[in-house]
Amino acid sequence: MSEVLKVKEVEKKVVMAAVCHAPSDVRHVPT
Amino acid sequence: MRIALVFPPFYLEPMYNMPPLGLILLATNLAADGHDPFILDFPLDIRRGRLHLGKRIYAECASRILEKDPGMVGFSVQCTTFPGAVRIAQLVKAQNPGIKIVFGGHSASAVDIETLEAFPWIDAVVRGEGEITMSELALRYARAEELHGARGLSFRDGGRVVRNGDRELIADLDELPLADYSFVPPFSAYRDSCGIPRSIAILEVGRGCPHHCIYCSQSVMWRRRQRTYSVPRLIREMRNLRDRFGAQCFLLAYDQFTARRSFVEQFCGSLIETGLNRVPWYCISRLDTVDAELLGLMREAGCESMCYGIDSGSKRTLAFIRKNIDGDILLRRVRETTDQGIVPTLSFVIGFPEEEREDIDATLELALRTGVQGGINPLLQLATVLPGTDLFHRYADRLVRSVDTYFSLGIEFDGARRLRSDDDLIDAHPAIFCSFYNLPCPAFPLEALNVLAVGFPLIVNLYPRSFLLLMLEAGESPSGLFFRFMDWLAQTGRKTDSTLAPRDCYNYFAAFAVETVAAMDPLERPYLREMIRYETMALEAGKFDSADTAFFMDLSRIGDLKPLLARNIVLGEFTFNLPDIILDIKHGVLGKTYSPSRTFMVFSYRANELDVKEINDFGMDLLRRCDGVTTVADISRDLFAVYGKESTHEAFFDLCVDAIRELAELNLVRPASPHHLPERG
Repeated sequence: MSEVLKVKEVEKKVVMAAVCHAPSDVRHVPT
Repeated sequence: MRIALVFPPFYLEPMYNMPPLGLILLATNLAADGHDPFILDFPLDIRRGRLHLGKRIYAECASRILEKDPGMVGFSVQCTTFPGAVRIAQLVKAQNPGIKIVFGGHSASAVDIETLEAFPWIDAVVRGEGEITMSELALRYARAEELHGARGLSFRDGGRVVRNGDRELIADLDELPLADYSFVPPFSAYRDSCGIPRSIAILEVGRGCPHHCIYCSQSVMWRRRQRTYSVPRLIREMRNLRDRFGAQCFLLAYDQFTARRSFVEQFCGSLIETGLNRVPWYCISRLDTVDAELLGLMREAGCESMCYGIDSGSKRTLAFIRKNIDGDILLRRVRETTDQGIVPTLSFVIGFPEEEREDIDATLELALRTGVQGGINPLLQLATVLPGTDLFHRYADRLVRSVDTYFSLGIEFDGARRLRSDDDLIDAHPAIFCSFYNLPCPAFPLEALNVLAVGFPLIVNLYPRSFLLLMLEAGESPSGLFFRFMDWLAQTGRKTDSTLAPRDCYNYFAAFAVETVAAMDPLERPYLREMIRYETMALEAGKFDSADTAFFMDLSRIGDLKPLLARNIVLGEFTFNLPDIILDIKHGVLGKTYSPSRTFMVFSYRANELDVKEINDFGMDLLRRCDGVTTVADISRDLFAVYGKESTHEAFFDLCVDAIRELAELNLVRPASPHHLPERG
């Protein structure tokens, strides 16, 4: 039997303030 | 009566501004009662380049108010904007003493008497819920009637300050008219001037909170009573905001959104039924009022992100702040939230005046244990004293000015510094401007606490697993290891100032961790080295600021195709089974022994989302050969000897084609040259 491709999800993660934008956090916003 | 409603100047680059809902509600209500209100949104003017920062900013605001010739000016005052509002009001009154000056909002409500006594140019303070009181005040001013008896109002009566009785809270919020956003520029103006991708509208869902946490001003404002708008009214409002004003995202304003399950179920059900669930929203919640089932429903209804106030990992501190929450369910709820694809912002607070080092370390460790779940957004704040809170009443005599917090930044209008006149006001009136002050904490000096508050969330975000494991290996506390990292940065000349920036963490934490591990050999957890590498690779994948654009793989001449690894991909080979170890860490298992087991991982990054996949040997060998030069036919021939046992060359070639197709569908490989793109016709 030949080898077939196997791909398994490990994790997904939204990259937050530290490396991109500030989070949409109400405490950050003057309203 | 012509009434100016003023949102005082505020500017903090990383934050964004939204339309001032409180003022919009006041304007809507005043207009319905026959007055002529208008709104001056100075934070937006700053963002749009129509109001310049500098020493003359308040004079400029005053002259813009005066040129509209109002009979009354209402200032919406929050912690940070309080000093500026006082200064602008003073300038307005000096130019035209006939104009009535009124303050309202959380801060002014709590220190009404102090404010009126300190600043004689302020005529009245509207306390608490403002809609009805403001209308009545405008009417009395217009008719030159006396103000005695107007509930919810504090005012100056000649040389005397008078405090009328409290006004009853509005019994049925549905009686208020729908917020009329035509009083402010369109949502797109806020979106574009702040450089955010979507137009965000605040949707007021309810008011009040039954809890009485020691630091919170909500209970002062709303008297611990909870009220919500009805679901049909909220749906009508959301439709109106989307269809008439172009809202693309909602921020639900109500601290207790999930307090009543039947309300959330009805709200979410209506969103799904009406198709409004296609507009994403954000809400505030408590971990003890959600579960997996409710979170699933909220996600289906469009919930994208939510904020949980966790505050502390120390039982002693939780008792001190009067926060009653079951710590045991916390990590499970966070996991259930991220499992639904909802990003939780987790808010922690350090530096309460009775906290010892162990209390703060308990909070930092809890933040790390939430960070290892992945997909969370940690927020660590210094305890701040807000006017009217129990924290203020108990510790008012201990206030010192040392470091800035979330509640004191945003008025640095003189270069990067606050105006001297603002600092003078703050120094002279600690009770009024207490949010600019700090409370000393026995655990650490305030400067060190501030370094922790700024820097530790970066660790929680970028290297939570490595840090947690390293901490356990070294037998060190979270703060101990953090400050050891800071010292290392300074001693090795990598950093000259004392605050940790994302780039420092990104560039140097791995080197620090590897060096620290090298000195500890042998490790109880030999997979720690691999975890450092895993978290570093995750960051490297994020370095690619733009992912490949969508492409189409022309498979008609698949044998000639020269696949190329997509740009935003990092491949990793590990000697331990990291997916299993990560799963264990997420469940709090940190001491297990693992046998070596080779695993391959693919890290990719697209639209702010990191995606990590495990791939088998065959897949990894395929990907490694996707160099844009080698054809699929050559790759197939190359791999046949290893993976093609009991197969023919033709069958193995087909298998490789299928695999390349699957990898392309996962956006991991793309064609090397543009001639593989489809003809446009």
